[in-house]
Amino acid sequence: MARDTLGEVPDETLLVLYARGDADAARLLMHRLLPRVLAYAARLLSDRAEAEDVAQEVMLRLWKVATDWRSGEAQVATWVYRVTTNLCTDRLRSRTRRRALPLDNAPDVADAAPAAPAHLMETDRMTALQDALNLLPDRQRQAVVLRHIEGLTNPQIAEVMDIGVEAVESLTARGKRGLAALLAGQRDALGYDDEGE
Amino acid sequence: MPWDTMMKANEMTDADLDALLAGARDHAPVPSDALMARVMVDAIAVQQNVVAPAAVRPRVASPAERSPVRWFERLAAVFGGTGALAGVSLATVAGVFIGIVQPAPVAAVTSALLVEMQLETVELFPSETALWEEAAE
Repeated sequence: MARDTLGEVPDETLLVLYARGDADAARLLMHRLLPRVLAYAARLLSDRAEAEDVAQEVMLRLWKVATDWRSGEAQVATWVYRVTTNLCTDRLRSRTRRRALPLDNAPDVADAAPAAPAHLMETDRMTALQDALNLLPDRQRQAVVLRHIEGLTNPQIAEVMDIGVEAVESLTARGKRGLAALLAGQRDALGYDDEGE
Repeated sequence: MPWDTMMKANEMTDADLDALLAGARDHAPVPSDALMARVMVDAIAVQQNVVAPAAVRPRVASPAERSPVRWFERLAAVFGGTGALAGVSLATVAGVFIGIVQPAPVAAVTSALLVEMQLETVELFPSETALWEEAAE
């Protein structure tokens, strides 16, 4: 199927088309899902190279499961987030110690770089946020990233993390309180003093 | 300003935190060309090795299509193989043919046998004609 006709096609349909041999469907699925998988993995692992390895592995598992995909059983995006969560959890468990994200290893900026002072401030903010995220318990970090950065709904997060919606609400609330505590005292340094509340 | 008030004023508010998290969306890592190429190589490889073979897998014949062959094979097995079955079939056809056509040599043999056979008959019941004759008298 021509790529320009696939724009509005649901992920699941693209996966079925891929399973029938449509390479364009694979390319479009990759463009839709890979950035989200990579961003999520990078937030959880705080390591670009490891996040790329995980993202590639998640997509590989998606290709392999295409022929056996059961329609309506799960959303493709939710399945992808779940596999990403599991792979990242395995990697985090295998680490001997938690590492902070080095500045030169920080995620690439998607948009055009802002002017120098603002760019530096944004870099400081993202570094501070990532450092604080790294110190949260794994489950709280996953819930906060999925809810407040990836923009998933609580029911979707519940499916990804295989827990109830109430548990998701509890994790995100505790995670945000934890972030606020970890970032306490940095409001001025991060440039929020002159932006109003 | 008292110290604790200054510290309180320097704490991140909910709005600050929400803004910080929302800003993180704009700073998501972008997949490199190399990563996308690796992912597509995987996709094509899986498509060729897993998806395509499944799509062109040889069609399995239905039981109805297979049954004539199996029926013949089973019968041949009873007679000890297809060669033996062919011999039995030829003998059967030849016997039927000889019985119907009755070739001259065979007819001579059968007539000679019938001539030599002397059949004796015994009447166990009196004939019907005798009964009528007795009644007339």
